[in-house]
Amino acid sequence: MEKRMTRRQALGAVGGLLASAVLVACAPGPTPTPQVIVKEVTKVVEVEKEKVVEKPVEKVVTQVVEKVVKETVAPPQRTKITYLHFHSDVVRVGAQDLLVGNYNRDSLKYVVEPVFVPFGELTQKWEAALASGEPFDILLSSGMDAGRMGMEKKALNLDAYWDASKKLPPATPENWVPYTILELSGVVYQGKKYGVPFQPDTRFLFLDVKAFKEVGLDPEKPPVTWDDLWTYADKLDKGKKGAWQRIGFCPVWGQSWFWMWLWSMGWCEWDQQNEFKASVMDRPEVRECIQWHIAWRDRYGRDDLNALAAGFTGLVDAFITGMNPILVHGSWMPARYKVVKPAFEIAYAMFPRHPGKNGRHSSWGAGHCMVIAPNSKHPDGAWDFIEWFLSAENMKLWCTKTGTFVGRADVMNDPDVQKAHPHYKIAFEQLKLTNPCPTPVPYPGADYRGAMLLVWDGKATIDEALKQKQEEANQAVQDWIKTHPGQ
Amino acid sequence: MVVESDLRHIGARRAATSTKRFLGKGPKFWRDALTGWAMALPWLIGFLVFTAGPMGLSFYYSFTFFNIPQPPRWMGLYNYQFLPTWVLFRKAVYNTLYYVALSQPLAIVGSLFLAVLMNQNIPGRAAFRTIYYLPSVLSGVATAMLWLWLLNPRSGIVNVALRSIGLPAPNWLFDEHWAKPALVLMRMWGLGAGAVIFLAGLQGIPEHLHEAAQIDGAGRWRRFWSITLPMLSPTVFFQLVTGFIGAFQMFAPVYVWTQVEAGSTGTVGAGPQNSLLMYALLLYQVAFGSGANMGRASAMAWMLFVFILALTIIQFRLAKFWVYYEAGPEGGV
Repeated sequence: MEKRMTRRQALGAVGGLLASAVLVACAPGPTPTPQVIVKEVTKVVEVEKEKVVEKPVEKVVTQVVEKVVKETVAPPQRTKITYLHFHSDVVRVGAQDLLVGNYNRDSLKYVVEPVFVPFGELTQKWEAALASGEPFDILLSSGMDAGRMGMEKKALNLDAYWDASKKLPPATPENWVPYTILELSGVVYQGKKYGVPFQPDTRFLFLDVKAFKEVGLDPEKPPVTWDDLWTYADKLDKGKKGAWQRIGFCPVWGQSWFWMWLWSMGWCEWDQQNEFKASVMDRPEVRECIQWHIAWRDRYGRDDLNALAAGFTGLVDAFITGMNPILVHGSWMPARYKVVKPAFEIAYAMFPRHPGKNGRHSSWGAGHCMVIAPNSKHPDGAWDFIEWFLSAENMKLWCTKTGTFVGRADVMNDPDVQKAHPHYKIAFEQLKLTNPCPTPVPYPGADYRGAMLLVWDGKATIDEALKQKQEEANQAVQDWIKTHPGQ
Repeated sequence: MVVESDLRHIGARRAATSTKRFLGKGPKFWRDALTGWAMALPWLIGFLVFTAGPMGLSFYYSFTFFNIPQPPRWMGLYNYQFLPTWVLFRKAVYNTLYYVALSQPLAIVGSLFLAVLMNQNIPGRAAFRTIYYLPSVLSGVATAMLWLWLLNPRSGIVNVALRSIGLPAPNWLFDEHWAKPALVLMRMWGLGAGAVIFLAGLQGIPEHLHEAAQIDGAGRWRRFWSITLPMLSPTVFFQLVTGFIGAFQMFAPVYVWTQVEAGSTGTVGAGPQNSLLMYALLLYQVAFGSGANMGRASAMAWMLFVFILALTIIQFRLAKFWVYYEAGPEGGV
């Protein structure tokens, strides 16, 4: 009995030794250093050279280096910076991933983790994280929100960082594209900067070249005024009420907002300093603008327009399907249309103006800016990424890849960038006549569009709609004063 | 004749006796009591921390202006005074009452009808039950997306079917007058869950009651009216109470629909003329939308809570007039 036990113990000991030996042999060595990575890369490249002689060797080297570096540099040695964004389209996500990947490859101190949230839930997630004490470090915010967020203590004052920055140009007119100077007012509250403008945007006309040519219209001579839209639509319309095959133009489709038409009459409720003028809804401009919208409704029929609009989701819109050859849309769309339908020929034109003497090709823009959480645990890291991301080199790459604008004037004035996309010429001109709607105004804006929709849906006359919306605006103003004492 | 001092004396004597009885319990009683409390403690802690605590806090917030992350600022009764005068609040209350009033009776009658059908002894009965229950296991978001396509005015299968039989095809979610009926229609699709509960109730009705009535010459309709329905009344009552509570909190489909709508047509709000602005959706928008005010959202939550509580109490009070418990209302004999 005693002898058997000893044998078992001996066998156990041998087994244990063997197992230990195997484990030791298989155990990872010390954390790989950059020198080890270089050595591994060289080996792989040599093999590739032998296998594929014609393949560009440089490309292979880059790919392998990226892969190895990402896998072997230990994350704990760097601080993680979280970046909350809403980019979901293939064009911008591709460009963003490329830039974030480059930053993570090169940065020795920080590693950025992008976190996607749909645009409609962005504020909720940002605020919930702020309240929890575990905030995201960076937010890709609506361009008009940063100042308001600063007022509400939801964004960090970036003055110290920006003023000391050697990579970002100062916030002066010569350094930022014209519209962005206005937008800068949107990121400023009481003289302090709470965001850095990233990509401003604007809206203008998209023209379906094939449809224009089909009815004998020259896309090089686009509609210029409201009246032109009506006469162009006469030619472009196809079908009849109840059975439309093509709608020449519809002022409530795409990125066309009521206040843009109002502005194109030469009137704006914000002045050039973004000071809010008391909103009186019952004005001749508002009445005429509503009547003009109703004329379009009666031309096509409200139910017909609603039924057609219901068929469009996301990129499959009225324009790309050939249903609507003149559409107001945003500066970010050309690159996306190109991905969905590469052969689709598009011409661009300025936003139409009112035919009256005060008419101007005015448009609306918002765009996006970057902000840092006021209670971020790594504000230096967050700024390091923002500063790097918004560098001239990266912004050139962003323009080339996405076709959107950036706020930096040096980038937008670059001849190579201006030639990069066919819509840039018109869009850049449009940007000079674009109004933002900054939100840190002391009073909520009046719901002009709501008034128009009341009439559009047959719920009220123009008089009744304007009266109702005026009462609502007055109540909102009183509520704001009551809930924001001293602001 | 018993005077007041006698009564006081009797009361004091009873209290002393019960205290003595309580303190005089042996160690086993205390051990059992401790074990019981220890078993209940995890739930109690969970209740206090995750339910009662947040409820108490939200009650306090409902009297404040609270824009996270700024600290709440005391506003007294302002939120409760403002809300009834706010046009969007009134619209949301109207939409929600409309939806509840239309959907709840239809849901009860529809699921009962379905349960009676599924209770018949027909071939493939189990398959029918599975098919009808299937929509209930789908997520709310998936269901909403599905119905968005089904109700598409041009290419949706509902309108294709209506047109094929010569009926007018509404614009559903894109028409102020049809948006809420569309929501009710979608709820009818998920009747299977309620039908399964009714089915369980139906199968719990003793067969001998039907047999006795049949011998007495009662027809099918008479037996349903005089036996099935009274015996099912506790189930109907349960469905009514839980159904009302659920219907008043309608959120997921309208949230999804209004998000998609905003993306496809450039419109904002909640359906045409805010016809899909349900109470819970407005509450969410007030809490997290532009100019977020968690205080006002808390006030809305408490108003809804009090309203549902009152409605439930009324339902319980009325229950004694129409709900029949075979074993008595307390479950006793």
